Amino acid sequence: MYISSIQLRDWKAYVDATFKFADTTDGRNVVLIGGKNGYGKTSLLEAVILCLFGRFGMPLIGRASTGDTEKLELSYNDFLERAFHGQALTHGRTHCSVTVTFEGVNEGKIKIQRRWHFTGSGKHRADQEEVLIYEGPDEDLVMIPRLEDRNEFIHSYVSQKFLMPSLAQFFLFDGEQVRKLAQKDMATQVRQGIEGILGVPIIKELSYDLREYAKQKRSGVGNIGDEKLDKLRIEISELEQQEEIVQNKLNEINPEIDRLTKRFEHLFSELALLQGGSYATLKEHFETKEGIRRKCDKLKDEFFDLLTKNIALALTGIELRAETRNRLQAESLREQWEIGKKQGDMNLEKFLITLEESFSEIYPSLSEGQKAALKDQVISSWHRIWFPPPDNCATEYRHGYLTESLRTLVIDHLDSLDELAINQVKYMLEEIKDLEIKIKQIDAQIAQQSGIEHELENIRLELKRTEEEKEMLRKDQKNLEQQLAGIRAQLNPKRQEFGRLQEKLHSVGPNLKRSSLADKIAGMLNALIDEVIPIHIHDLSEEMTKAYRAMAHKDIVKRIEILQDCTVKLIGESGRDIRDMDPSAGESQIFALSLIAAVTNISNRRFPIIIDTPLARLDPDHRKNVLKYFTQLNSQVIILSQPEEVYGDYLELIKPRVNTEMTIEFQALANDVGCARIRNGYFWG
Amino acid sequence: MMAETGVVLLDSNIGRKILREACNKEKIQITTIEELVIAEMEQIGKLRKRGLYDRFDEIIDAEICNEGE
Repeated sequence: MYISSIQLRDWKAYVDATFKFADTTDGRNVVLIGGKNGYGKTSLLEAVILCLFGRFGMPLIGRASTGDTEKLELSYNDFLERAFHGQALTHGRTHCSVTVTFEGVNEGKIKIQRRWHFTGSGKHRADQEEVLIYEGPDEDLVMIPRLEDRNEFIHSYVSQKFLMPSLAQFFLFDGEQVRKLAQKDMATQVRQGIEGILGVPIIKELSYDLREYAKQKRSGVGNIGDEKLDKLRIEISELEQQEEIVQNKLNEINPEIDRLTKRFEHLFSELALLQGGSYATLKEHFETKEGIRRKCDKLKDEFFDLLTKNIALALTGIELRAETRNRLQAESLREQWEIGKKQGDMNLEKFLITLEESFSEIYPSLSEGQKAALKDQVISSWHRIWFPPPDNCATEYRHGYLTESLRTLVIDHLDSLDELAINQVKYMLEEIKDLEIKIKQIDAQIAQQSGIEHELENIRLELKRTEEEKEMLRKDQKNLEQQLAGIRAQLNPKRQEFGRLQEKLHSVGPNLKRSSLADKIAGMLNALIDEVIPIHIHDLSEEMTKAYRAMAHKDIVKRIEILQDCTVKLIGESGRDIRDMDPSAGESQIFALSLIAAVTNISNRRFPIIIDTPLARLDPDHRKNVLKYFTQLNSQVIILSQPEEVYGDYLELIKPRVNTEMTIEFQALANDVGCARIRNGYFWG
Repeated sequence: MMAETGVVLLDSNIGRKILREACNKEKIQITTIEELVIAEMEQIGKLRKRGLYDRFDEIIDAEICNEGE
């Protein structure tokens, strides 16, 4: 693989320049490009880097400030805006481009062109960056996805076809890059080198992605496992057993309740039947008996009252009771006469006062004597009205203790006794006797009826017991039904969960296997890295020893020893690390170049090596050695040199390997803008 | 015939030997590893590795099918 041409348009000082390189056959693999400082050598290196890697190439740009992603992006835009040729816009050109053509690849030829577009004010239009890839002798355009997939595709394409970014620093470097490598701790350089050679970053990335992939697959599965399903299965089984027990109890209770219900209904019907036939009869008996009893009791009361209260008076006889009655009536008459008389006397007083007042009206007037006589005569006349007392009026009171109302009661009672006849007493006694006989007869009938009542009572008791038993069973039934509902409330979600998990487990089964396998492979890859790196450390130390011994002019380093932790020892003749004796003896730039050389050799990559002024800081012997070493590599080597770097003996040294010689010339234009041009031949050629 | 992954770790003689031994031990086809590496390489530099897991699915499923045979 070699670069056959590099075309630059409005890139840095190049308005339109094409570097064309011969093929690397016949052992001529070196392209020698001369250019003074500031004429555009480094611009060429940067053009190739950014054409291939775009913004991901920024860390490889020695003079670009690099940092985190954001700074890198700003740096990329800033770098491109400065790379865009100063006079392009004034001539109406709004983009710059770099086209690199590779030949000797599987496809025969691959041409990559990257275009950067700018606004009228020279701002980089990051969203309009274009990459065109052509493959084969007919330069067939490779279809590149649009938008966000574009950069990813190109990056992947370049990594696969040409070079992974992790190795790029060992193939495309300038003096600055070498200086940076030389300044780094050697162990870091070596580790970077080895990992770069082996492609460890990609394996580590793969291992990481497999772990993440496995994690994602597991997360899809959740925590489902046989253990969880088993636990759920046991819980469901236990609940099902409980459900069965409760259901069996219910199955036992339900027929019993039915039986008791039927029994209850039967007893109730029986009771109703019996009660319906006897009740009226019994009630009639009781009512009849009660009526007779009341009548009998009344007669007895009358009889006993008669015996206790009236029988003595009745025995006094009618005459005595008549005389007593007459006496009481006479006393009553007297009392009425006395009351009338008393009332009359009171009126007499009022009459006399009125009379005396009327005396003055009499004419001729009455004398006092006459008046007194008249008053006496009136009084005497008044008294004569009340005397004698009425006939039959008692002259005195024998029963003065009686009031007129009591006197009337006594008279009435004596009158009733007159009506009481001995037959009447006999009749009362006979009637009482008859009634008592009737009561006895009814009692006998009730006694007969009480036999049915006993039977009814038995039914009632059984009915009650049946109802109580049924009620108890119903309570048990209700409890069991509640228990069953509770069990089913637990059971149903668990069954659903079990089914869901089973289904999920079934569906995620492959994911579990994928996760497990991905983890296994990730672990295997990590183990592989640990196992392979030490082996390659040995290869690298041998290759570095060769390169170092080839390039270093002193012969004090016999071999480079790299330990497992990638620390480096420059072993001298005595077998000791010479840096312990003389720290400057390491010649770090030569060491860095040895590392670059060893890495490029071991990597088996035949990617072209572009070296930009690598010799400026080296002494003449080192220059020769370095030039000799790198130009003898099998890959295409493009050396960008100052006039003072490769010239004379140095030039003669590599001349047999050079297939192309070119020189960059520069013409200053207005406003600090220049124009770089290429001519064939190296400086003086 | 082993595919060229472009990764020296796997393409070098010693790397391939060690990988083969590891694959034999774990009963994983060496082509599975190669395909995974290629799938990963196709994603180099991508901010979002779109489609990578789908590719992993395909490769790993093929390995699982092979296990079952």
